[in-house]
Amino acid sequence: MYLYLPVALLSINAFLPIGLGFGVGILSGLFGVGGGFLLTPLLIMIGIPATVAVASDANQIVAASTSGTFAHWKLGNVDFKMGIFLLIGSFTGGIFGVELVKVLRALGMIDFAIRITYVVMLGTIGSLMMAESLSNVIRRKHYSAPDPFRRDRQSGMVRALKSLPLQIHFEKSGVTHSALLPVVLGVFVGTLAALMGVGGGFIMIPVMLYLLRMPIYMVVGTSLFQVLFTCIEVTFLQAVKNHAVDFLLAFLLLIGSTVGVQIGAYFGEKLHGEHLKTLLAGIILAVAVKMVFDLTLMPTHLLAQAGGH
Amino acid sequence: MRSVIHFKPVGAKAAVLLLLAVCLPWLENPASAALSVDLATPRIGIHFFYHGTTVRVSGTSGKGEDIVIKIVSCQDHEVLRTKGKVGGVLWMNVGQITFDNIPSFYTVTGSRNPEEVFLPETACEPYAIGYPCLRKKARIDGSDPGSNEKWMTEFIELKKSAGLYSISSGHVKTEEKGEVQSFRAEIPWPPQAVPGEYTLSVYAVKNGIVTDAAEKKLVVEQEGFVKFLADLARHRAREYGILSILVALVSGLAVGLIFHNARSTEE
Repeated sequence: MYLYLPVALLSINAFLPIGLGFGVGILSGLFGVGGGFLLTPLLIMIGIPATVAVASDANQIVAASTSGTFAHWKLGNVDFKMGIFLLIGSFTGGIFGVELVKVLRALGMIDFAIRITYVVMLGTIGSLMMAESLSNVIRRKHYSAPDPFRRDRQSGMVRALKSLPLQIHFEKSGVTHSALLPVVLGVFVGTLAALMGVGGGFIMIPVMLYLLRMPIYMVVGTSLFQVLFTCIEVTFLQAVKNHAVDFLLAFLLLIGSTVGVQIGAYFGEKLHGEHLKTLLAGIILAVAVKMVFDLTLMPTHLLAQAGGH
Repeated sequence: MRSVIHFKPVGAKAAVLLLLAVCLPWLENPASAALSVDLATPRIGIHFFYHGTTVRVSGTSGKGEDIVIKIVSCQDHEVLRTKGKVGGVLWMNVGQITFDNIPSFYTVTGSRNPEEVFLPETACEPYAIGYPCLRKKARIDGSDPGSNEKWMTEFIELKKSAGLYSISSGHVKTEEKGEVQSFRAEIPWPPQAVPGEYTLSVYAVKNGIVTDAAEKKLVVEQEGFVKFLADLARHRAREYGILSILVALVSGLAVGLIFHNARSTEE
């Protein structure tokens, strides 16, 4: 069944975006990522113009992350207190990021900056997460009761963070941090998210895991909460500034993703935290490798539609 | 009394010359019946389930003439990003080029291969039949002159792979009926052809020379719910953005509630 997308100006088999949304929705529910870093390139591959892909994907992530946040909230896995501090930071970072995009665009460096940022962030995060997860999985085989949260290890960095002012206890995550920490980290994530055109989930998750020391189950739900608001902001800006949101495309995607995220959340509960992290690290690394191939292999066409990001 | 009419030799020659002058155009174009064209689909409406359509053209022409049909978009200006190697290693967008005086959509079909029907001297000027003709007329801005040929080739290849440029035969059928010929064309219209105005030109060609031509306008426009959404996105962007967000929020919540209730029922 073909439907015509009024903003993308394209006729598409309706089951294709529904299927893509469903697959990426499962990942959202499992890992707490919005899935934009995966879904946007897939949409471009099936012929959706880049700007419309980014904008419409942000729109459907609002639905998927609402569904996912609700599911994780019901499981008791959303730390709203931490999420709000992160949001204050990421909202501010988003504004910086948009200004940074303007500057880079004026310098003619925007495409270079975006691609290199993607490869560096995805490659670094994926490699670190994979290394850490695999070492924990191996350790589990040799220790009877491993502590995946490593609360008993006090590194120098952790001690330094505990010396910051405005210390607040986040009951749901069981951690105590300065209020400045999630705000500053949120600014960093929000800036990168605006530059890369993503919800920021795949950056926020390692930040929550390794810097905020939150348990993985709290990380997934809280990340979705943060991604939800980031994507509300992005959807509105894309609709008003670029007229790039294709509501019909977003609706087809969200039919699949809202269901997929529920299934992902359900199976995420069944999986061990380290297995979850290993899987996510694997996916992030796979996307990083694909991007390196895209950067180094000659493209089929040397011309492309203007617009994008 | 019999009258005898004597013809002077000069008068006979003049009569023959007059006869030839009258008949020669007919001999050169023995079937110069006027071209008549009927476009059955002057308007293509893009509706909710649109996936392309067929443009139907019919008419009559002189006997034995080739029929060539060209459909061209009115839009002839495009800005495209160019990809190049940065640091000798990385492929990425490095600039942009403006293409002018070259259509965004170009399709030519005929009762025979259109590029073989026209004489080379007239194929390009004024009929623009064939990609070399588009190259000649196009203007490129934003690249060094030495690379223009390369970018023109890339442009045409991009358009061909997107289904927006094609040259074909087999979609026009002709049938002789006495001294005239009827023709019927069913030209596939791709869904990726954007809304806008297009010019459909029909040429009747004999021995490489165009004997007659006709032009029709073809309009492609969104209608119904598709038009409603597109207009909302373009002209009421704030309301459209808020509506998109609200629908997403409500849908996400609704699915969340459905699954939660389903799990509660199981437990």
